[in-house]
Amino acid sequence: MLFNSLEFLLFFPAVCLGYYVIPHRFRYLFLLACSYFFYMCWNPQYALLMLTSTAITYASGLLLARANAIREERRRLRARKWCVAVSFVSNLAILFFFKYFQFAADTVIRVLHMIQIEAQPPAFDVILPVGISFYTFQALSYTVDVYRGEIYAEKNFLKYALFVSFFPQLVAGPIERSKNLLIQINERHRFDFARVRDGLLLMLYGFFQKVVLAEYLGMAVDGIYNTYAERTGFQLLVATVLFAFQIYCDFGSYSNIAIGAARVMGFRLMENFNTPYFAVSVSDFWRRWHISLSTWFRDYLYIPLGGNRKGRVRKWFNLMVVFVTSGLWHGASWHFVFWGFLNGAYQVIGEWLRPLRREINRVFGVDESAFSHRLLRALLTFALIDISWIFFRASGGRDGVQILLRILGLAGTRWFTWGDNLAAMGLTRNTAELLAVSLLILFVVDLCRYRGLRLTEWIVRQGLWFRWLVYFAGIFGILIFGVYGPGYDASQFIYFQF
Amino acid sequence: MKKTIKWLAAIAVFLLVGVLLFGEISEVLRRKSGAESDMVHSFYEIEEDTLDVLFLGSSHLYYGVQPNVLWRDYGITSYDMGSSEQTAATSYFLLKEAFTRQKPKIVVLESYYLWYNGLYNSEARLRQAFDGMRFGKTKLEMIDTMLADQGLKTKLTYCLPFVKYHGRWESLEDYDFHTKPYLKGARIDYTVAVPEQPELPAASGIPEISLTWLGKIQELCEANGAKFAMLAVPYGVETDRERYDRRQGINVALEELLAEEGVPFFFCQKNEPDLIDPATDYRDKTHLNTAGAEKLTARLGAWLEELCPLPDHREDPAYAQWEEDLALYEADTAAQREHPESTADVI
Repeated sequence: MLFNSLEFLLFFPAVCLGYYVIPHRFRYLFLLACSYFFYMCWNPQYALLMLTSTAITYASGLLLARANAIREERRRLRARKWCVAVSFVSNLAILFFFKYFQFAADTVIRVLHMIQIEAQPPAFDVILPVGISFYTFQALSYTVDVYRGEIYAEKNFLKYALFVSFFPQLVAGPIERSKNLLIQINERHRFDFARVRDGLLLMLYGFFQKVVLAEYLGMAVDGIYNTYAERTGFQLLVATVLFAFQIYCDFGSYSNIAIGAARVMGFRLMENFNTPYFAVSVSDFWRRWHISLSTWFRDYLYIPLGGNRKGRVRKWFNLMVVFVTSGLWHGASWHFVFWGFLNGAYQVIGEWLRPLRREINRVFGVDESAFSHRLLRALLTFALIDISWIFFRASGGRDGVQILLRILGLAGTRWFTWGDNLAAMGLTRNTAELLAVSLLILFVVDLCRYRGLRLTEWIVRQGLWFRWLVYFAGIFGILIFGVYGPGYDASQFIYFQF
Repeated sequence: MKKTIKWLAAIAVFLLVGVLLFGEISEVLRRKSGAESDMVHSFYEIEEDTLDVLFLGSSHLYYGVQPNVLWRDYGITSYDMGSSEQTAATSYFLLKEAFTRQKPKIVVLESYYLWYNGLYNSEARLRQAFDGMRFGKTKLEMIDTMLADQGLKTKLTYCLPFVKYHGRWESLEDYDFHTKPYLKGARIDYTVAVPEQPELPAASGIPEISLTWLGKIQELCEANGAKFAMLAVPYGVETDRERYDRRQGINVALEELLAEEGVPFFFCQKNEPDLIDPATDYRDKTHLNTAGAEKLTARLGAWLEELCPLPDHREDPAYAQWEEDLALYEADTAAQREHPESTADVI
């Protein structure tokens, strides 16, 4: 059940209604049933996988609590480590089997082929379970948090199962932490008009990002990327810039809808995107982009690897490990790995060159706090991130290189031709104008947020007519301009035959 | 408590305003069948229980019969419940809906599309017939019957045409904001084409499905106290002779069948072969233009009066709207006669 589906539009109000009508002590059971129903709409069998991950991490929590009671320190430490190890190995094994097995097998076969050994790929026909990367990471964070003593071991299995499967953020994040979400399950949430309104407004903005922006941007990008060999460098450049916004809107929309939906029911989920394209460095970008994943890697991989505590070289190595793993988390393919590698490399090189940059700034008397300097840094950061997106979007590493060469004018083809560039992107003049206005709205909303202006608060302070105007403009803007439903083809209605 | 009531009231008013706005926007975006004629939907503009005659049928009907002419010449109130490629099953549901608002004395079905062996021809044609219909029992019954093999989501798009047409914001036309209900479902087109009009062929078979639904239409008329009659608007050879013979042969077969059942049938090409002039009265090879429609309708009026006594409402002040509509129709036809404009691609 996608957020932008009719099913969700029926499901969500029904859940909210039920949630507020049912007595508090039964609410978690109701939400758990709803969350499993939500998940099983994709593939009922895979709910068993989620249940398995839930059971393993739940047991790890209880066993960790018991291990903590062992008096002998060595035995205690060993038992605690075993609990974490079993939880991680078994969960990651499931994730590997369903997400990476084919990729690993293909890679091995390719390597064998390079040394003249031919092997047949194993027959493996399994659909990737929806959201497996998200809930596995969320469940694993619980094991570590209990291990670190940052959260109690939850005794009620069903409450814990709800933490893993909480439907708003189950399939596309934010990847929650037990110390934030699990404790909220026991809270008594009353219907609060202002909170519900704020949640709905955030959902509305998320729907705008998804069904208007991401969908039209997707059309434009697909039109160019799917036939990149026939496209000019200019068209690919525009498509690549648009893809940066497409992926932001696509991913950001799911987070906003998730956070908004949870807020309607009284839950506070962590923020996931914070004006990422206003970042002034790649590391700043990663503090603003998919925050729940970045902080997961920071807390559960980077810091255990030693973080920045073991010297510069080790820090850089740790950074590269984190970003290559992040690439792999995004998709089982080498171009995702390269995308992650590139983002890690940017940061390592950036840090390596920092003394030189500072020296240049000192010599030329550059005011690092000046708007022009920050703007330049933001543009450069955007360019670097956007180059990495090429490898994220392209269907393979080679395609990514070809696209980059064409954008840079190094492919020996024409970089620009006069002609209908809009039509090449599958856009009409009207849809291009709509896209421009929508991108402007996105920019203004992000700018307000960057400047610390809370737009929702500002809107609700206005007079009734203005507030309602904004609400209805939002609702009907999405309903009219959004891309959904069976689609309308005017040519169907032309009277060709009698 | 006071605060809760305030919130509930605010939510209720917000929802009400939202629903009203949604209704208005849906209406603008809905694709109008027959462009400015807004067929089927404009039926609801007619005051309840004021129709004398209801016509049903495909493009042959809405190009061939002008309700304003029946009013002008006879004071008969009528409406063309037409839609492109209207099958007998489609006519049945449109008639059923019509009976919820009107009690016509005569129901006339145009026969051309009986040749079609199926419930409906295409999604677009089904939508042209039913998007304009208000949501209600008949529409649900139509969805249940005609779209039995379709999924729930597809069915929903017929209940809420907005889902299908929201993308029309890009291609809205002037007629989306200003429809012409005074055309009473007919179309005006004075372009001229000269078709070949051969001798009438031998009888050909009528598809079983058409006969089944024809029977249901007759039963429905009987149940609602309306006299049922049929009409065959003249047409020529569109593509090939074989096709013409097959389709026109249905009228020949129908004449015999209806005669047995005692159903009046105005088979123009047979009963009044000289009424329509192929040199001036067609807009293409198979449809009359408005000049031809005026001739045919004028003749139809006399035929209808023979079937059943129909009152002349022209002096009745309760029917003043019909006189105003006629004036608008006359102005439109005068303008069109001066500058004929083909309606071929805007159906």
